[in-house]
Order: sequence, then structure tokens, then C-alpha cells
Amino acid sequence: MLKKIGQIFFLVLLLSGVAIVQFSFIFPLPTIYSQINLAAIVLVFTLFFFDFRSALYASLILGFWLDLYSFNFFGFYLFLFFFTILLANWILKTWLTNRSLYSFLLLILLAALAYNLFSGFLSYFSGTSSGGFFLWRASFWSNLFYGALWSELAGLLMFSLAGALTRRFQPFFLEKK
Amino acid sequence: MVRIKKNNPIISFLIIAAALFFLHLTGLLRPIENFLSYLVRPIAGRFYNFSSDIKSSYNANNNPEELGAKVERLTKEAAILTIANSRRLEIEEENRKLRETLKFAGTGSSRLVVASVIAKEAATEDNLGLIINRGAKDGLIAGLAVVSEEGLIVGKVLETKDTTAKICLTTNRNCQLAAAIQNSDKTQGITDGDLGLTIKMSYIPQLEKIAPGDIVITSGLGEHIARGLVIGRVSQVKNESNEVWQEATIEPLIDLDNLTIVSVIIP
Repeated sequence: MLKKIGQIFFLVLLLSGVAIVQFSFIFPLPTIYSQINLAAIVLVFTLFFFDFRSALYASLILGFWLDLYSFNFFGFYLFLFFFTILLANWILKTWLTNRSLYSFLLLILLAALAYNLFSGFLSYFSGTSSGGFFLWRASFWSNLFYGALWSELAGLLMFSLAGALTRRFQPFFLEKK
Repeated sequence: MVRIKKNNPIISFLIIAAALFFLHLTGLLRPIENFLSYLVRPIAGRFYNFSSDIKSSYNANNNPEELGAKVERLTKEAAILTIANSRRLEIEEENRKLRETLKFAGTGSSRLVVASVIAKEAATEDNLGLIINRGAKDGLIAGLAVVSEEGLIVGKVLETKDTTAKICLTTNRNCQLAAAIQNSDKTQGITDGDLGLTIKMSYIPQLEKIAPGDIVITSGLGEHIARGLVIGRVSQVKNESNEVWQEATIEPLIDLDNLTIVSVIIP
């Protein structure tokens, strides 16, 4: 029981750290690097290597922290992560048949695309966006491109790290005897 | 009939999210939010400073020639400003003596609230605002002027929470300030950010004489912003003979990307 509580506490702390890094470190970086979406990558990682339930709870913690900092309406990030994870889980269950690196990278790519689109729609319909519809802006597409590129690289790094740190995430093969 | 599983994670998520939403709206969550915000402020500030350092060195490495030209121009300007400052000090002293002689009550005092920048709203064009570690509890309200360590106006407060506030920079779109140009005509207008890089002053009548190098200050016509805070210097004037208005591009005097400490002026 105590071990379980300790694990939960550690995960909450870790996810809170991710949220702070996203808001205070990544967003202020030069524009092309500020598109790294660490929070979404961590969520996809949780979904891919653990389960949907863990990913949802992780999105709750990350969403809460980001909503705490953000001046968007409260629930902006909670909804954003919820929809992203919901879609990523559907893709994982219906499209992807294995848990290889390629699947992981594809999932990250699609999650980055979904996150940016949901974020654009939420900003647009909540009235926080200015200067026209986001899909017609060149900056949206360039941000999406860099976001996807960095997410893929980060995904590659995380997959390799996870493989090196624990056997749980390493691929296995069924051999005929 | 659709059967909902007893332990459905989506239902659990929605219940918790709805509870958080309700508690936030009713203000019951506020003490916890304030405590958490207070708790992470120092760490967030350090992360922001680190990120800001990376950004400055990235910008410096990307434009070495521009940086060299800037240093040369600033050295010349520093010499001119030293002379101007000594004159200003003399005038200030004279002004103080005259005020004493006339028993002038003065124009009232304002309070400065020093704040650290702890985060950036998001990395999109619409949300370039910075988050500072002071909020409504420190007396901040929307519309107050935000100045740099040098005393130059860098933006204004957009929104406040109890312990944090969102500020926009003068170079951000929709960050408008009532401004005046220090020229012979004392031209007045509204400044607005232009792509997060420069400041634009539009709707200036054609007959007004503006020249590159003119200093732009706040006009004092804004609700909470006093007159005389320096916004920047005119770098370019767009003056077409067939147009009714002319437009000035204003360059901020400091690099707004490296702001880590700012002050909010409470009138």
C-alpha cells in the first residue's frame, strides 16, 4: 500500500515537473524550438507503454497544472489533452497492430497533429484567437511542422531510453521450438 | 441499451474534470491554486531565466553582424546620452527648487511592484504574453504599465489572477498604447505590436513631421498609464503622397526577448 502511494506521489511530482518545464522552459525558447510539446509526448508515451487509464490520469495532472498557469479558460488544457488521448487511443486500438518504434512515432505524429488542431479550434471558438481563422495562417503550419519534427525526435529518444532502462519496453520475439 | 462499465476511465476522468471545473468556478479551489502557484514560482522563474539565456545566445549567434553594428551605434548613443543626462540632472534640480519655492503639491506618487517573469503563455502567434509572479493580491489590475529595469515601458498588464498576471509586450499584436512622438508637432497616436518584432504607429496625419530617430513616449491618454514613459525610437517612416495617413515603425530600445525582471507601475 505504502509502495503504491509512493509510486503515485512520484508520478504526480514527475508530471508536475513536466508541466513546469513546458510552461517555463520550452514556451520561452526561440520559436522553432518552442514547438516541442513535451506534455503531449509524455502522454502518448504513457498510453503506448502503460495503458489508457494511466494516460487519462496523467492528462488530468498535466492539464490541471497547465490550466493553473494559463490565462485561457480553466479546462482548456484538460479538454485538449483529453481529446488528444482519446483520439490517440482510438488510433492505437484500431490502426496499429504492434508496439514497435514505427507505431510509436506514427502515434506521436498523429497526436501532435491532433493536439495542434484541437488547440486551434478551442482558441478560435473560445475567442482567445485573433487575426483570422488559424488554418489560413502560415504560422500555424510552420509551427505544426516544427512541433511534429521535434516530437518525432523526442519520441525516438524516449523510446531508446525506455528500451535501455528497462526490459519491460524492449521488443520480444516468439520463437518456434 | 448502452451499458457503461462500472470502472470506466473516461467516466472517472470526466467526473474529476467536472469537479475541478466546478470548484474552480465557485472559487473553492482558489486556496489550493494559490498555494501551488506560490510553491512553483521560484522553480518556474529559474527555468524561465535559463530558457531566456538560451534564447539570447541563440539570437546573438544568428546575427553577429547585426550585433556588431548595434554595439557601434549604441556606443555613439551612450556618449550623446551621457551629455543629455547631465543636462537633465541640472533641469531636475532646478525644477525641484522651483517647486519648493512655489510650494507645488506635485503630481502624486506612484508605486512600483517588482516582478519576475516566470513563464510564457504559449508559443503561438495569439498567445505571446508573459506570465509574471505578481497578481491581484499585489494590487495589479489590467491596463497598468509594465517597465523594464531601465525604466522603459515594455508592455502592459492584460489579465490578473490572485498570484500571477499576464502581460503583453509592446511588440505583440493587440498590445496598444496611447503614444506621442517627441517632435515639433507633438504627434499623438496609438502604437500596436507588429509580428512580435517591432512596434507600429498608424493613422498619423500626412502634415505631421516625423523623422527616424524621434523618441516615442506614452501620451498619458491611456487609463492607467502616465505620460512620458519611453516606448522606443522611430526607425522608419512610411509616407506615401497618395495616402491620407502615414505610418511609423518604432524600434524598442531594449531587447524584449530577454526580460526576466520587470516592474508594474501602480498610479
